[in-house]
Amino acid sequence: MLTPEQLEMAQLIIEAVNLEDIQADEIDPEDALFTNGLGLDSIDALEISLELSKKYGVKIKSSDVNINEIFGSIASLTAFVQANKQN
Amino acid sequence: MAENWQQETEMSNAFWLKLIIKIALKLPRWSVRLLLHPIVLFFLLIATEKRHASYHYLSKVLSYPPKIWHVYKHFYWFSAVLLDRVYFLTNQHSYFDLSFAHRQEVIDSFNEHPGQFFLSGHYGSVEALKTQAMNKHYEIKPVIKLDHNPTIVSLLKELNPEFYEGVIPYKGLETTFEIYENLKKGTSIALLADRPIGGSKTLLVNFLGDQIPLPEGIFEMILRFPYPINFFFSQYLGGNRYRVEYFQIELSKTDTPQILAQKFADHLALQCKNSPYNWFNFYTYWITSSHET
Repeated sequence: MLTPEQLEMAQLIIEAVNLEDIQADEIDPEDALFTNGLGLDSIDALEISLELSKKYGVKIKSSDVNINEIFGSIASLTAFVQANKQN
Repeated sequence: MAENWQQETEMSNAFWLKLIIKIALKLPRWSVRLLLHPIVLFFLLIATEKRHASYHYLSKVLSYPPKIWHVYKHFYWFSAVLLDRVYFLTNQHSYFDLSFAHRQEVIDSFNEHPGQFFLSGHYGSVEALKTQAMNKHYEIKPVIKLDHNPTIVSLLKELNPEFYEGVIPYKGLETTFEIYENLKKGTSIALLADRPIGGSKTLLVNFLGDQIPLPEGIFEMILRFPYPINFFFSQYLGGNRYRVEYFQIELSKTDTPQILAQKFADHLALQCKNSPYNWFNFYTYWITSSHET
């Protein structure tokens, strides 16, 4: 079950990378974003990060050591954004 | 499979590179080039698979059936270019006579688009491009998979510490971010797009009558990023001469990664036909590709 923040994140991801056949509320927040889960790639991750920067002022950089963990799942990405958002 | 041939080649490269570097820094270039002959001969005798790969490749690009001395020349050019890398890296540019084609167009385009993509293959000497970048027309960072060849990396770091400061090590997710961050601040990115990386997704393209797998991620990325794309090929012409040729690639809206990858393979194939001995992929991956992917 998604929290409201996770649902918002799922919607942002669906819009950012055009996941047409997926409903936000059907996503398991713990599912992997890459490969087996939603099947995103690193360019999708970059596009999502640009959206996050626009919407929340959260900047994710290549120098962030835990970048793979941040993009691990909807849950981890939401937690990171909630902890770092500017507005 | 891809992992294996990468590892195998990096190990043998490291051995030869170590040997060549040590001698190269002590003696003049012409004398080291003489010393390459026995090394190449030895290599020719023991490296059966690489010899077969060279035969196969040469049979596609030469207008006559390749003989053992053509394979010898192919190996020799590889070693000669590898040797010259030492001189490029230690900034001994006076050894070389560099010429360029369509260079001015690229330089002019930097006024409007300072960050661009430069795609090449394991063909000729990429160092020749890097040298040109160093004369301050633009900054260009190659993306290199470092963890496969730690010996080479440590050797090259010794030769020119600054060179490796200007390199983006390929890691994975963070590499895509780093490439984007660099392009955004006006630094260009060079990528070698003729070999798949690790177990990543590939696109099969036609190359000299065979099918070879190219790294899908690279072509996907450069299509989705809004930055100009160039192909460049840095041919060794024999003696001390190199020629760097640029192609500014116009994209159409219907271009897919597959179409762009094929375009790249076609450019590369044409280069190989023009100057066959510059192709430095001594692996049979293009033969077995249809079974492996």
